[in-house]
Amino acid sequence: MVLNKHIAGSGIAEVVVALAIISICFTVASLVFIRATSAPMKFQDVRIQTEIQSEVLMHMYDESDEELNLASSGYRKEQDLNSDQLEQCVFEGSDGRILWIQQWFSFQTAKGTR
Amino acid sequence: MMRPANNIAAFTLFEVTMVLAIMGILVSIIAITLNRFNEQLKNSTQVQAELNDWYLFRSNLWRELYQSDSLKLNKDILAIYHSSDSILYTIEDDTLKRKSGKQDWASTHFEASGLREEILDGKHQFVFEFPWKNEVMHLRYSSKKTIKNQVDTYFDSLQ
Repeated sequence: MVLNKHIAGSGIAEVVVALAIISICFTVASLVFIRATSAPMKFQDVRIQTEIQSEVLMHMYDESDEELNLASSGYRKEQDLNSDQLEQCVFEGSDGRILWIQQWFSFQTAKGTR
Repeated sequence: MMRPANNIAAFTLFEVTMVLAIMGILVSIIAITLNRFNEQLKNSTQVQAELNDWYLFRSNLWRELYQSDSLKLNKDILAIYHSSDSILYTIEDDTLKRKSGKQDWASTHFEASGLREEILDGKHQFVFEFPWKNEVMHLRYSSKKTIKNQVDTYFDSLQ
């Protein structure tokens, strides 16, 4: 009879492996959740961002031909995709996270940051 | 005719205990994880709200500074003159306070540790200092002294 047939139970090793897999799934899910819900901008980044804005604004007012010099962050220049007349400076933090994007008229870039 | 009963061997007490223990562990893990998720959601909401408040305040301050005719710091009060009204900022009880036109002083709810004017290479800079998570954040605005400063200062002195 089929009903009388004994089914082999799980061994301790199988239980341990199953628990380990479940734990790994939970851990990965937790990490994904924390990563997804953590603020995209850190407090430290906001401080640097504010200082970048201060420097950029001062540089915009500055009539000298000095280079824009920001020790706190690196920046790169790119052509703005929406306008030929605009160029944009992308400021990045040490971890490669974009802190601020500043658009410039091309002539201003030519004056200041090129 | 009665069918003979088929007795299937039941679990032993030990097996049932083991299963319950494992279920208990799993339920505990799920409960702890859900609790943690909830806390994380609360934290991230708080952080986001705090950052949003700051963004709002900062963008408003930039706009006020940028659209100003002139700026003047007198007795720890920064006056931002506009064509229609003037806006005042000062620090009281380590909090930045703002006064717009004839309204009363209102707290911005942001802690501030300094509001000063600096002259660097002949350029006037107005510096706001905000304690920011155990660091000091500087918000600087460069201002050129023009005839508008003198005009605004003169009319201010008449009031």
